[in-house]
Amino acid sequence: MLTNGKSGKDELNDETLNRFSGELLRASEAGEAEISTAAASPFLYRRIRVRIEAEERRIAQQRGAWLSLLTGVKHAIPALLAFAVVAVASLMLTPSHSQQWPAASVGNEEPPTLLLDVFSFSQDELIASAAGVEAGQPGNGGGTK
Amino acid sequence: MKERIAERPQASIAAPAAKASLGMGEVETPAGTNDDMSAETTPEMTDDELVAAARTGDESAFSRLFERHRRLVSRLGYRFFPRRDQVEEIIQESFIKAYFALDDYQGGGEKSFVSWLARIAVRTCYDELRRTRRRGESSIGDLSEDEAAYLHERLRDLSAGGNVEGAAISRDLANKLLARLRPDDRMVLALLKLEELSIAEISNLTGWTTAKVKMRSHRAQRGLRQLLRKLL
Repeated sequence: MLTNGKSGKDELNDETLNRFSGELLRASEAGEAEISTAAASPFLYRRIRVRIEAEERRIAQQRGAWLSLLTGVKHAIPALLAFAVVAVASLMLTPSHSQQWPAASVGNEEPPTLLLDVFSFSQDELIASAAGVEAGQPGNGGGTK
Repeated sequence: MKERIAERPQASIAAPAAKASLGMGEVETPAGTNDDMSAETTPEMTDDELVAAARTGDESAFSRLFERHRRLVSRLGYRFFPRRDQVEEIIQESFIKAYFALDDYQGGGEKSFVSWLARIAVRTCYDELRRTRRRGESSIGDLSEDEAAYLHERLRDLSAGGNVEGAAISRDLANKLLARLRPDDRMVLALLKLEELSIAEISNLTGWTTAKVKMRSHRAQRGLRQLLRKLL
């Protein structure tokens, strides 16, 4: 139901426009003759076959490229394997620096610097010092007084 | 047109019947094929049987499928493209895609070859519509002053109570106007209004969800009204 006023006018417009839209769509339709002519276009199937064959060739070439790559990789596998074995073996046989350090440092260990003075006394001096008696020359203030 | 895209029982797609329904008479034999192919594939073979034969590399089986269904693809192509060269390109592209997708075709029952091929053709049309729009081939959508004036006059006649037949417009002009719609909008409109397909059928053909098809349908109709309103 159409009413007066703006909404009614809009409704009428929409209805009209819908009708015209329908006509527009129908007008865009092709005739049967045109459809048949395009479908029966000469050499259409031939062109399809040519494109299919070209596509098949392209796919085959791509596959060939992958296969040749895989073949190359396959040939390289023994060489790579040998290289890997040599690398692992050389790593295992060569002693590393981190392993050398502790062994070398045990024998050559030096006394800490703070104890150097202590170790410079002889055993007698130390005993004398502990007993409060001078064992060396008189007047020498090496012990505790 | 609806029957052509909708599912059909395989038995009814036997070659003689299909040939008659295509109404193409003597032009049915595709160029580049010879008569001895009929010795390999009998005319009574169903689409599924032909697909099975084509899968094994039988070229004549695929040419028979092409013969049977090229008109369907041509009709679909003309729904979206006005020029013959464009439609021929759609036919070629659709059949090439179909050829390479034969292994995916499951056949039988609801998934008949016709609907399967129609799906491929519709998607090919959609891709081409988008490509055309991306390339900026919008010259066809540009109306000349005369054409705009003509349309304006027709619309005024119609809004003044004139009948639709009286406001007949040319196909060229209609295509120019429809070319202004977005590809997906135009796709939905054509399938909905011209093919008279349901939302579910369009969803099946395009691969879109039904909600998306409904939304596109509303948007397309609104877009077309807006387009026409500008001319009023």
